[in-house]
Amino acid sequence: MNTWSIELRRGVVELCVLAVLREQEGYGYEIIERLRDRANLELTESTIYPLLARLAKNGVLQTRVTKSPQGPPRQYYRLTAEGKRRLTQMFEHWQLLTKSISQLFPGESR
Amino acid sequence: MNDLLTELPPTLQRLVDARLDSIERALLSTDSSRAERRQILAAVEDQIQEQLSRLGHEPSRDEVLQLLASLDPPEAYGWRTIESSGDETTILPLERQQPFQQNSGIRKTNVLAIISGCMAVMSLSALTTVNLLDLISFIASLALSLPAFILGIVALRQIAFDGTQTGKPLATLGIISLPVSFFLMCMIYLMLGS
Repeated sequence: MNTWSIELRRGVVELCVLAVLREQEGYGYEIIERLRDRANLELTESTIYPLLARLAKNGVLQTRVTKSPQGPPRQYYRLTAEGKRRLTQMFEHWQLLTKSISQLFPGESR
Repeated sequence: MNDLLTELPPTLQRLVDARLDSIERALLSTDSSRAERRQILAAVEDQIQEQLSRLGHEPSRDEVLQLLASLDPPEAYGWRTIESSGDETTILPLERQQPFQQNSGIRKTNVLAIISGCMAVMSLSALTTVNLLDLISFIASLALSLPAFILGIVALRQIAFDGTQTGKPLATLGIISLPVSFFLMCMIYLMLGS
């Protein structure tokens, strides 16, 4: 995969994470799997876990700790009200951007 | 979920712990807080445990090593700035490389512009030595102004690409040297030849 493609994905990773948490809370590895299964996005743990920690620190995500069947206590993440607002704004920006770029390729959109 | 893996055998747990320690060291090089580091490490450990539990049996040493090899290397955690104020995840090495690459391009453009300008000056100077229809001076002037013209165009295009103004006058001088030389040669020929 070329550098441009990697950079592009990195730029939208926050939007993707917030989107998969929109309807249902999730824990770290589960979020990675949702991104892979639902959106074919191969985002790995070194990208997702620091991002989740930062979003929680910034009040975009709320955490809930539960006992895990194995290993350490499991941290579940869900959107806060601020997170929902942020997701809405990001998605609006994304739609505007994709619409604008599509206009640069008339007749080529599928 | 499989309860077999509530606890790994100590030898295998040491492998997992060693990986977590390496990730923690990498995270210490970032501006992540202690709480963030703890959260990240817990998530990685949880993932390892979950993937091992999916094997459905007690994992072997090879299986644990294979799983650890499939994960991101610890260094991958050290590259990111997890700072709260920024909205973007930043890859530091890329940021550090860009100014160097840009400066290198500008230096190259400057050299082209300087060569072009010098050749233009030499080309025009050659015409001042004209003694009657001195063919050698004409040829020398043309031989200098032609590459000055080409180099000037290349330099100007590069300057436009770099978005700087450095070297623009010299590159312009290089470009105009060809038509000016040609014009002057015609004038000299007409004035001295008639």
